[in-house]
Amino acid sequence: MTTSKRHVTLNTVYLVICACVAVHLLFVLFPNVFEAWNAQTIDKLFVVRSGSDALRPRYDSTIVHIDISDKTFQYLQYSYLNRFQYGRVAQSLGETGTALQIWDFIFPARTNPDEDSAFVAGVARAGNAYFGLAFNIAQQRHASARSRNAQTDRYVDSTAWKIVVQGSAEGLFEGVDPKITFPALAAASRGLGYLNINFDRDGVYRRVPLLFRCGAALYPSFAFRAVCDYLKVPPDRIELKPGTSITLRGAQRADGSVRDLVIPVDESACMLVNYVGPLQRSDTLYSMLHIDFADILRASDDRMELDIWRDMLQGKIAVVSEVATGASDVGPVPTDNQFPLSGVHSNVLNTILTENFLREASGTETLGIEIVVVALLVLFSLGLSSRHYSLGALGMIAGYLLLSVAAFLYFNLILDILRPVVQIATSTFAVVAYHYVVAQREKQSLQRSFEAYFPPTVVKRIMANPELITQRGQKKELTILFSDIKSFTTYSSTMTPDEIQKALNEYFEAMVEIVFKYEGTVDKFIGDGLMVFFGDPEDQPDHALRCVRAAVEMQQKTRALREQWEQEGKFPLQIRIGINSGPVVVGNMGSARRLSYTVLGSDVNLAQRLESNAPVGGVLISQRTYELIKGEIPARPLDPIMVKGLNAPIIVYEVPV
Amino acid sequence: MRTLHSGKQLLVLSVLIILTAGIGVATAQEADNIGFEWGFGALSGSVKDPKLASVTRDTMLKSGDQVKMIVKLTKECFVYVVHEDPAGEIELRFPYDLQQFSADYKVGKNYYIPKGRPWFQLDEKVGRETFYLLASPTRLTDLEALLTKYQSAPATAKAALAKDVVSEIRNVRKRFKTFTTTAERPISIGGNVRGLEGPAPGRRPDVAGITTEISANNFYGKTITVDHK
Repeated sequence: MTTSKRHVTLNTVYLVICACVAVHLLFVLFPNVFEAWNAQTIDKLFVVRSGSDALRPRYDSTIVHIDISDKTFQYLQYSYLNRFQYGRVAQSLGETGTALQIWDFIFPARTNPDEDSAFVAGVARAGNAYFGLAFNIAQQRHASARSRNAQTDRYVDSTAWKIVVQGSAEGLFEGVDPKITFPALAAASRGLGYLNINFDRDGVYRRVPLLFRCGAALYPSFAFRAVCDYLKVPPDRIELKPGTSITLRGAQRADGSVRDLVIPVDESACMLVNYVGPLQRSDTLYSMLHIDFADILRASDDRMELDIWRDMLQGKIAVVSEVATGASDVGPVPTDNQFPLSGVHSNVLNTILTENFLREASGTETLGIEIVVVALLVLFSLGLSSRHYSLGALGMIAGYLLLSVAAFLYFNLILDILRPVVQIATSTFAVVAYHYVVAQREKQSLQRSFEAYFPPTVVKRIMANPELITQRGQKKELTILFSDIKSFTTYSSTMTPDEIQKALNEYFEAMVEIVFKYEGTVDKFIGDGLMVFFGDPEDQPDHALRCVRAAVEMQQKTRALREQWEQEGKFPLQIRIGINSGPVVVGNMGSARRLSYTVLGSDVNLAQRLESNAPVGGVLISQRTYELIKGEIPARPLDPIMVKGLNAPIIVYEVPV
Repeated sequence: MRTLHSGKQLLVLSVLIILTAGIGVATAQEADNIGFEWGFGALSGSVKDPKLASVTRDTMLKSGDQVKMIVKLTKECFVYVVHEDPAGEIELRFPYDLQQFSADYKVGKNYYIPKGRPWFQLDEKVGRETFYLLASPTRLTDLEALLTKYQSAPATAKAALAKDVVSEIRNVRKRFKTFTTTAERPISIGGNVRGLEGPAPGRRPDVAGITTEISANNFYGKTITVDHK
């Protein structure tokens, strides 16, 4: 590897590392932008997954929705539900044998005594209803946890959970000023849980805190309290490890098996919700079972109807919620932009009951992936061209995307998709841009060096089509010209180096211009001599003609220069020119350190010998060159000459100048 | 429960029918293939000043009170009213007999139960009076067969057959039952739905007690239970 190449490779490696580190820092410094972007990318996976029966998470049909919808009001032919009716439905849900009924409501205050009593009685008879409470989230640490009502505080205190906490619970959301369902109803219920759900930075509901901190105590979410009761796990058998898991010791599954259930959670005790799908999968398909509230209400005064419903609802967990027009309990979730948020609770229940937990790659795991990405990119940058690097990077992006999709679909593992992809893309862009700049610089340098040997038109063509200067030698017929200044060594001994350089430069400048005019290639300058060939890199069928015409013009120009130099007191310039045509090997020759685009072969040597034997101020050509220019340029045969290296005499011609 | 004849009661029932006719018409849907008006009234109070009330889930009647029903078809369908008394005895109250479907059964005609002017009067046997109201676009032949068998069975076999009839009613209702519904998402609106707010305490209308036109698709079934004290 040349020094220049090593330098470029080293720079490329630095560039890859810098690009990846810069992207990493950007993601850390601007989480608002990048976390949301990444999360929305992952949301697409939820959508794709929910569209496939094979990939969709399992739905535990124990969970059913009881919806108060527009249809309910149309069916009942009135648009207001009173607490008598709520009580009747609560009681009926109890009588039909539901395991739990979870009311996604907070009834914060009493209305009128008759209705409230009926509601409380219905709930008490059912014995399995849960209602909501809500916390304000503390804006400052250790804010007052108290509500404005002593009775509320007493009730809230009585429902606190004493669970085993391993580590610090400081990271949990801190709830203050609880708003509960009115105490009489709360007391008749099986329990209250908070309904708070927090959206991510982009407003999407992806995770739910399972536990809140309020004062020194912990409180479960609405769905979490219910599911712990369903699995017959009392608080003292619940173990929280913030940032790791919540373990339900000895959870009793529906199939009768008893074993620990481990829920992965983050520092805030938030669980990622593994959404089964959008509310509506097609015109007739829904992600979960939905029952109209009106049907249960109607069944409440029909014993046989209730008995029939028992077949359907026995052992179910009923999530009662309102989804009628104007209900504000709607928000975006990964699978649906407008999702009734009672569905968040049912999906929390489903995630826990099916034990189908999602897990996000930890910071360390993501960093590990980034390191592997950087290592691979560095590896690419060591040996690959820009094109292959780009292809490799594209392959890496495709591979990583496939890995992320597979990890999500088959292992419920959410990888940070965006960061490695942006790192790969950014580093590729940087590397390609850098390689482009370097290539342009090299091209310019190459062009400059070409311009010394090839005419500008040929240089242009070579730059556009570098294959013209083939790396491999090829044999082809060319015409080679040698010229030499008569007695230059003698004259130069009386001249200063400056004068020699100036004289030679002026002479060569004039000669090369003529050579380029006929599109010849300057092979090399040999002291005061010049070696030129015609017919390559571009094929020239008339290479001999061009060469001889150039030689004649060179002699004419030399005469003009001699007159000028004599007037200036310089030496009398006279040159000899010898020309031969024949098959030669042409191509880049030399060592890896120094290559030269040149011609080789006996016909090259013959051209040089002809130059030695040429008359001063004349042009001597070989038999083959003569045959190629015959009829175009007049030439006079001379006596055959003997040249060094050849045994037979050579037929030569002199071209009149 | 026995049948009692009275002229004034028919007048009261007519009021009930007029009341019925004005309600629920708008709810009939074109897609439904079952449509009929249904009224179930109870008379209490003195003979001179009888008080009419619709029989609802909260209705409690005592011996001597009278009840009467009416069926008026709005679509061609087959309506059955089966009565189970506190002793567990079964009686087909409507149609009056199974031949009626092919003889006297048409849309728009008022069919009183019991037929004509008489009313049912609650006898001394207290307990739960259960009325099974069923409607179907086709005849419920299995149920009809069981009812026919029950009517002609000896007294000793009636108790078991009565259970079969009730069981068949349950089965037919379950067979036609659609438990789940379409999931709705709240429609986002730039405003409020005022009707969802509660009226002032004490002024709440009890719509559940009003007789209504019934329309349904493929099947309709309802059990009306009256506590007879």
